[in-house]
Amino acid sequence: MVIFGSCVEPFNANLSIDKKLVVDGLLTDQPGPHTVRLTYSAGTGVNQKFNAVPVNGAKVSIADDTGHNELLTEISLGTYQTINSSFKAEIGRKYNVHIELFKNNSLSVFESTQEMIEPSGELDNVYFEYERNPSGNRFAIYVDATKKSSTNGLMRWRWTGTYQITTEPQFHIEEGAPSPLACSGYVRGGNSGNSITKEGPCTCCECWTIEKSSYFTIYDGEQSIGNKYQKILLGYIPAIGEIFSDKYHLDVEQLSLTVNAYNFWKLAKNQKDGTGSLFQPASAKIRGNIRSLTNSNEESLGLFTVSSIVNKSIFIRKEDIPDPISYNYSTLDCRTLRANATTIKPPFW
Amino acid sequence: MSRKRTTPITFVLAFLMLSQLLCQSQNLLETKITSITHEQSLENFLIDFEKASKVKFFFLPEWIKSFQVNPSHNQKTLKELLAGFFDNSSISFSLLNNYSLIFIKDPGKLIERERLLQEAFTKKKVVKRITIGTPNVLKPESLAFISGKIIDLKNDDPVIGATVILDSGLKAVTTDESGKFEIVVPIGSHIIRFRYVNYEEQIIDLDIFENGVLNIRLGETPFLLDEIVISDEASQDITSRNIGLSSIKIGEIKRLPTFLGEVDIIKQLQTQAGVTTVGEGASGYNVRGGSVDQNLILLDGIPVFNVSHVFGFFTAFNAESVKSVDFYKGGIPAEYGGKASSVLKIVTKEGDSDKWHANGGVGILTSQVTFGGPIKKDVTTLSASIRSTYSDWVLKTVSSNYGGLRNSSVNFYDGNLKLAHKLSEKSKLVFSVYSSQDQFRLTNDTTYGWKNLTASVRFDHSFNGNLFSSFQVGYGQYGYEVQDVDNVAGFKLNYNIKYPTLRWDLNYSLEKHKFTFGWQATYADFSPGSLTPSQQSSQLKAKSLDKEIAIENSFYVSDTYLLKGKLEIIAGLRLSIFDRLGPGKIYGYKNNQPLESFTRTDTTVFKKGAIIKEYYGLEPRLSLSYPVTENSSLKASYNRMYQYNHLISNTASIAPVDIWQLSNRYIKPQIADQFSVGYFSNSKNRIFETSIEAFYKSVQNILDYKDGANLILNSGLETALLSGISKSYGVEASIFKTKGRLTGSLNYTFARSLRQINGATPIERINNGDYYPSNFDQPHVINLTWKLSFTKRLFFSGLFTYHTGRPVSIPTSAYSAGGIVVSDFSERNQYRIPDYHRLDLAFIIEGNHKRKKLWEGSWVISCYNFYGRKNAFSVFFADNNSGALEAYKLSIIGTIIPSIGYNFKF
Repeated sequence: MVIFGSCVEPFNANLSIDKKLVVDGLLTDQPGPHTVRLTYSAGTGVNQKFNAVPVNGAKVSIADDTGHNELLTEISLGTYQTINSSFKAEIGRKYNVHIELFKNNSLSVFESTQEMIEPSGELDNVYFEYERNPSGNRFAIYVDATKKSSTNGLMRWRWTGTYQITTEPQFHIEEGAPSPLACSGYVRGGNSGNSITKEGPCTCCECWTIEKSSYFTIYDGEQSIGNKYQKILLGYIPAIGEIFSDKYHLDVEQLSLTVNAYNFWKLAKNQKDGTGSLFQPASAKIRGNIRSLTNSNEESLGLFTVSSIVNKSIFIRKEDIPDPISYNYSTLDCRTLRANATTIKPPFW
Repeated sequence: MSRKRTTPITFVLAFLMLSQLLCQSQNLLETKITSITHEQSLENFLIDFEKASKVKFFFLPEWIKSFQVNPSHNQKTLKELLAGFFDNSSISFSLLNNYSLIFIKDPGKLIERERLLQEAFTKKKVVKRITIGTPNVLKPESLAFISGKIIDLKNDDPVIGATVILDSGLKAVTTDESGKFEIVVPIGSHIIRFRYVNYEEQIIDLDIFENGVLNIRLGETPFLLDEIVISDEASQDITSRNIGLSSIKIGEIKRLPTFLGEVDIIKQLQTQAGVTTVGEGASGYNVRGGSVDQNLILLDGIPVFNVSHVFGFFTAFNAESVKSVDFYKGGIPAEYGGKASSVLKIVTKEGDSDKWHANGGVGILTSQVTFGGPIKKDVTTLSASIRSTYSDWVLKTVSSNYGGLRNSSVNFYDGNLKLAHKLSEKSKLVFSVYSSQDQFRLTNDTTYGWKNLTASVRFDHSFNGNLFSSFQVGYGQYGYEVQDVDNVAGFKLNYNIKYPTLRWDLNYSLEKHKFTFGWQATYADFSPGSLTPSQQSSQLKAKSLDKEIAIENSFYVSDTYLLKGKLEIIAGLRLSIFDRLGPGKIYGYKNNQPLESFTRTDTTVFKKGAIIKEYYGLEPRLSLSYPVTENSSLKASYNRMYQYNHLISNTASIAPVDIWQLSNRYIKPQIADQFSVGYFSNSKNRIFETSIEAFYKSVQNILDYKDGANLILNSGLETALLSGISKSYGVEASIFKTKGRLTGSLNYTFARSLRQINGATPIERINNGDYYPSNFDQPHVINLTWKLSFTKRLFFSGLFTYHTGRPVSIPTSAYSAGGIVVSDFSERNQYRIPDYHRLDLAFIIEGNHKRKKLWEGSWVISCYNFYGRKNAFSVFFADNNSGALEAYKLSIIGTIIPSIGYNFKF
């Protein structure tokens, strides 16, 4: 009998982890507030939830190439925002972030490189294609875009989906007997003990929830002819009853990227896509654009970047699904089904 | 051997000492000679002289039988006469007490000769007595010129690179490409030995009186004959050939432990100093800090791209079909080129021209059969071999906890065929084909397959005694296919390289010079990838990269020259010219900016046949060997090598989807410069052979991938690559025990392999432009092999290997940016996986060693990884459920692997 006995074990390299400052900031050409988050990097362990350590009490400002300096305010631990609502990035200007903080009782100063905001180009078309898949039928989401000539053409897309959750809380059952939730507008009673009667409107039967793209797409224009980017895949939406009780609203944002940001996101994406495979591409150090002015040996992580944004929204309707779908209505308060579910109907619905 | 004056050697020796002390009267020696009336032998003259005076001569007649006196010698003093004969010879004379004249032949030499004969007799080696010329016709010359040819006993092929050793090895020459040699010897008695790896040594007890010819037929060592384990250069005669060359003894490999019973040439190579591997399942090998693509592997003169089965677990050559293996890690001769680090030259067997033979082996994983013989006796021979897996049941038993491996399947075969036809005494035609194929399914969906094919026709012709020509037309092909049968994303990725070759190698002998020169051309036709949907339902978009075409032409000349009988110089020069040809397109990029797809400016389209880019380079080669003493020599070498095709890979682990990229406008040829110097020494009794070598190698224009680069199906691969330099240096110390019941070798290497990628902008740098260890930097390497003979038929052999764990980059902490958790990696290659060490043991039981029996069989019982160490092969990263990456080490083999195999021959 031959046994290879190959095996996989955690690799313990006896690391000593030094906390590094992490900057996560984005300034756009849209109305503010604009946010810069400061944290320290942290060690991780198997099944140990990663928790970034916020850095509070820092002095954070954004400077442009005209000499204007915009001070940010710490609105919660480690989160710094612009207060002046008219402050936003202007196309063609350069911006950088300046951070002062006390670390081990001495002043540390960090700065990002100057990043120039490029126009985002056009978001020509957002569309979808239905795909039958053994692991569940789905919609593939694509965009067509046009880059502006004389820009680097580097882009990132992210999207927000909104859909309706429909529940039937009037049919709620407890201990084998009808027990309509109060918000359903129904009460138990009437002639027989097992009947329910409507007494008012339902306030928890229709909710709307939003989901952010769990992933982002970046593109450098490779393989595109001229300035037209065609059929860039952004991701998938499962064609299931839980999501398509009515329709699905998709809002796609197209962000222009600086070269530094593109390189950062490319490596981050590579890390996420490549993991867990025996043939994975070698993951690598991701270098951000933050450096220390007080100690050139002190490494800092993360990115401060600038983007201009255009967006486009579409609906995907239940009728777009050519196959029958089923949905078992929940009898719970619709607001309890998703963390961010709300009964307030979005204006575009 | 009758003695005229009974004078024991010891007696002579005693007087040798005394004669230095005693005051010598010159009377006898000053005696004028007047008595010569006719030409006669010196011996008879001395006997007459003795009768006529009171003097006594002490000598062995064979010492002086080559000398004649005649009347012209009258009027000379005895001293002048004798000096005229013996100056510049090994014989000296001294006078004792003014009445005894003692002739002394260099006693050391004589004793050495006796010893060599005695040794040959005890080893039961055949010693042939040969006399060239007769003592009677002798002229008083002191030197004779021997020329000759060594040919293979079976098929009359010239034996190239065989060593001809004079006496104790003071002088040695090697045969040239037509099997010829020339050697100048003092007239008299000599022991001449003819040696070649895997052949039986032939010993000639030679009496030579005039110039003559010695043609020798060497026979292959019979299967499983007592031999040295593995022959690094140090274990060959220290006087032979150039630094950095080693030859592998095929017969002996069979007596070493194996992995799953598979005899493996390249695994054996890895026990030599200077050759390393990153671990089990790693394809290829690293030579002196060079990457795996820097090794030229020639199979019957045609380069082979992928020499592994099952991702490197086995070598894709059947050891049984191989006749000889030469390996150069330094001092590479000018006839080889195209790769930066090393040359492995494999020549397959030709069939016996006399009768048919077959042998076979039955192992746990594969079976093989090799057979050969005459189609037409002494004219046309055939040799063929085939090896194949039975099934893929072995992998079904893998107890790995790594997903999918148990559902794997593996299939491979390799085979070769050689047909040789003698057109005339001076010409020969050889046809050779080799093919290997692998199918490997890692999960239920994805199948990896790759295959090699080489074929060649060679025409050998000997024009006259001095000029030998070998012309070869060849064709090589390498390709792989990855297929996934998923309904939605199913794909087929194909990659193919075709490379027809032409080569014309000539060599010409001229007294002390041996010239080799020639022309080699390779047409490279690369299809660097096409992706097609594998299923009708697949949503995949087909994509295919344009073909790449190039021609590489090389011209070389080399001279082997023996300077003043001591210093041997091999000096050569090679000119390589590489032309990248159209059709093709080359992108332009913005000046002073990194090569990125978004810094592209334009595209230049080249028509078919147009030269896209040309590179050429001169490659000087030099190799020196100087015998310091009889048992030691000092050697040094320098070589420059150009490499025009590059292996591009960015995986942290094994990958059957490697890309070979031809040089183009942006990807410059790799240029390697290597210096090495070594001291080689044998103990007096030749039981121990030791060597110490140091080397320094630097390579320009090495390629490393840009962090996170996508390499597969990338039409502008230059945007994914960075170019830099590498340097490696080290010291290799080896000791061999070549005699006795216990034989073996021990070597230790300290070596570093570093790279520097320091481009103009930060994104074009790795580790901020500092030197960093290469993926295969393994500073400390120890290899120990041994073979203990219990009886003539029972052996216990073993192999222990240790090397420093290779460098890796790992995630050290994590952070959150843009809503996702990102892992912070260490700088490239700043951590190391645990050190690798492994012990393999084997018992070999052989059948009896009678030469004439019909059937020979042997059993090999092996234990691979005897103490079951879980050696890490690589580190990979997976989400540890916190969103961040965690490093895991993968041990491909985590337990002891026993196996048993049976080999037979008839």
